[in-house]
Amino acid sequence: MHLSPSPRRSLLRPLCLCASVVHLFGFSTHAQEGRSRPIGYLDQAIPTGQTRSFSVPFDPESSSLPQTVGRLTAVGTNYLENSAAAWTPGAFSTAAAPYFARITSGAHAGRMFRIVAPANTATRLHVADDGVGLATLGLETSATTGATFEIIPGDTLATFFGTTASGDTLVVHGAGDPLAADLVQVWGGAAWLNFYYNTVWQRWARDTDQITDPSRNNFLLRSDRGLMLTRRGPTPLEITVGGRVLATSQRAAHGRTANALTFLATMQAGDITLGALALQTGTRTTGWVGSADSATADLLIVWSGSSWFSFYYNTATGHWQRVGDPVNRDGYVIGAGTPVFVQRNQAGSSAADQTIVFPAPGT
Amino acid sequence: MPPPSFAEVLPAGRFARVVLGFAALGLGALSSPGQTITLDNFNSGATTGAVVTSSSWSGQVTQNATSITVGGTATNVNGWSASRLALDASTATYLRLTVQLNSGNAANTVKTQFEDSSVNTAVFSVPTAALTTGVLTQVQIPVGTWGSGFDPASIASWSLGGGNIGSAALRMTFEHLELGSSLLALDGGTILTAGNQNYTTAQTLGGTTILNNTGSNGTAVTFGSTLNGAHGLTINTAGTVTFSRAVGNGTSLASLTVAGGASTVVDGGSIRTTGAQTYSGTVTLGDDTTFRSISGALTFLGAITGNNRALIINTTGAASSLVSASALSSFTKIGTGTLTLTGQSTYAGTTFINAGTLALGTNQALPAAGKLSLAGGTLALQGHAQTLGLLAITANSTINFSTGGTLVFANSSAEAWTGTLTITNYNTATNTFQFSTTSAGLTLAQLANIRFADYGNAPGQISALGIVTPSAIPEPSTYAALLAAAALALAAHRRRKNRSHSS
Repeated sequence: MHLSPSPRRSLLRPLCLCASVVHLFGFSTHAQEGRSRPIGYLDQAIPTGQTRSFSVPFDPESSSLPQTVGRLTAVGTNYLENSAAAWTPGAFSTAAAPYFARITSGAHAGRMFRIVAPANTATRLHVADDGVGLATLGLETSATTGATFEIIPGDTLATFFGTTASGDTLVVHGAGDPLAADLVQVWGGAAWLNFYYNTVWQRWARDTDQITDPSRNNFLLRSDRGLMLTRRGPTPLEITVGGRVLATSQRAAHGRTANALTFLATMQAGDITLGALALQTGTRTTGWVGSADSATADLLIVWSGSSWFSFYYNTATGHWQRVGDPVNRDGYVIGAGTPVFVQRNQAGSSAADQTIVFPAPGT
Repeated sequence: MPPPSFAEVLPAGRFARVVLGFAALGLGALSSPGQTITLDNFNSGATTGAVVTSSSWSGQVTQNATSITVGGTATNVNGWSASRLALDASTATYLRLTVQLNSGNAANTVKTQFEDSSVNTAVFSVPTAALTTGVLTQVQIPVGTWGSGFDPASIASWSLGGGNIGSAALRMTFEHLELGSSLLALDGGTILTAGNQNYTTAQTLGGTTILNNTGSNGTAVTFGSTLNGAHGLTINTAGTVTFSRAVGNGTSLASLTVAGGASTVVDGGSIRTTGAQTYSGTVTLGDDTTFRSISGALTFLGAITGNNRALIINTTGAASSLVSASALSSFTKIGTGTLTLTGQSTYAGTTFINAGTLALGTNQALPAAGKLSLAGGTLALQGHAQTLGLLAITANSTINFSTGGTLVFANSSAEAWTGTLTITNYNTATNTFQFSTTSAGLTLAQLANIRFADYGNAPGQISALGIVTPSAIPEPSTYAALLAAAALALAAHRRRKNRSHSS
């Protein structure tokens, strides 16, 4: 089991930097993976009183537990199976130490699934499929040719941002009053879930919590989603995260009820423009609605640092532009690690409808 | 952090004005049979939720007597919430919301977000495009699928609003929010159905009701039991509307409209209204079925598929129409009204016209090989060409030709004709009335039962090619001349008679 702090949280410290910077500094080779992935780290600075959107564009190293890289031999409606595995039952299924399974080869390379209850068995991982229909995806299954996967650690509020517990380090500014503490916001689908570290209760809490409410230490931070950080501490907060750069495209599941918003991590280790992201293309999305009218178009929404910029693909002009602004924004840069809201105008039900393929970093 | 009180968020002086405005909306309280969990009734001084602190709703919410109105500079975030709850909604099947869009609204959804004790979330939404500005609308959304990992037995908080990030103005009035295990009673007003709706128990309309479906989250509307009530029902959906049991057999509906292109499945054998029935999409029969309107029109804008069932159309009122029908074991027109077939039907069963008029709105509207049995009604060609199979006459009936109308039957000499067949608006110069292609198409007895109304009720005669014409060949104008001559002769006879009496 991985230990706190997060394997991706290589460094979070108060420091003054004005821009996010990504660094690639080597390669990670997993013995069972047989190929290397570049590793890197990303700095992002949040001045006092400001809010930033944030995601980690790297995978952590795969779990150090045995047999966390393998091939799928069976897939059910809520499980992935590797008949060759001999996992410790429950090893990947605790709330305090969440894990994900990332598909690393085959037609669905880049998909990631949360490992959830019921507890894993020696060969089976129960996963949440975010509504894409796990059994209908057609994931390749075979002991020799099945899709490869790896089990990677996830993060919770406590593992990523730390706590004041003995041996741990709280890297954000906590307080007894939620209005005085650094604020971590996670999108709940229709509203933000607001968390802070309560230094009186010595635990993570929601802004509406009282002391009798349960600890939020184990609240899962999905690595395929973004979050918002508001710095209220007296000095700027620099967040430095590290990990392995994705070798494949990130296949992200997103909500497809009409006008649903999903806050997605693009998993881009470097900056990328709207034109290069090219979500309007068929290889990236199914049925992306571009339009000359922003009211009927799918939207991509980016936090600018002080407000949300809403972009749509104008089919009449053939470029991305901001709502209410005709200027070509194909060159608008989405910084490394910057998550984006995706709002699809129309509902969609198929797995393809619910999937966005973000380009593989560096392609 | 506890939510702020109303005193903190409501501007003074706005309360009374909005209360008066809201009273004019005139919608009563919800009627919701079955178990319900009231999340918020928005009553003054008794709300469960409150404005989310520091949200764009702060200071922009007006408390009315039984509702809140969001306006001013509020944006489409979820700005109203309740927390630290302990609700068990594991038996809930529907989320019900009463909401009104107000002028200036730019939020494109209304969303409710639930959070369980582990802070898993579940979101249910309604597109505002399905709502009408200024109309308080009841919305019911299925909640059967809460989402992976969400525990509806431990709902700890919820929030309500536009469900967005504050990019657009939100102008709405919220009156009620609840979870329930049954659908809203059909007691009148507009109910927005944002997903499959399954009325498993008998329903009685308590008022004129409109079911609008957003079509974004499943669209089926199913009545699993009977449906009655002397009120109108309109169902707007792009999905399938199913009537599993009889409709209006106890108390006729005032009217029934299935709009929005929905396909309709009628398994209950009967749909009865005093007024109009309109079906915008296809209609599929699961049993022998009677559509009955006492005084309104029956309008089938899509085809009827019969599944080898019998179709009976009973109209006595306004002109009705049907595009086409297929796979019927039989098709019967009864009632004194007129039904026009606007397209071409393909069923193999017999067509019965027992009363009223079955009018053809196009050439070959009836199946070419189908048998026609006239039992007291009228077949109106309206100038169209129609080839049919056999013709049987079981009661005095009428075929109404118009200019250019052509009617060809198969050899019907073996069919029983027990009444007269009156032919109207027929002209030997412009119409064709034919039985097979030989003179054996009808018997002499059958020909004697034909009355050509425009030719002095002359009986029919059949040619070597099966053409049936009036046996007295003179044209209608000749009949007029003969009648005039007869009148002159009669007058001369009377004059002579009068003179002989006076001499």
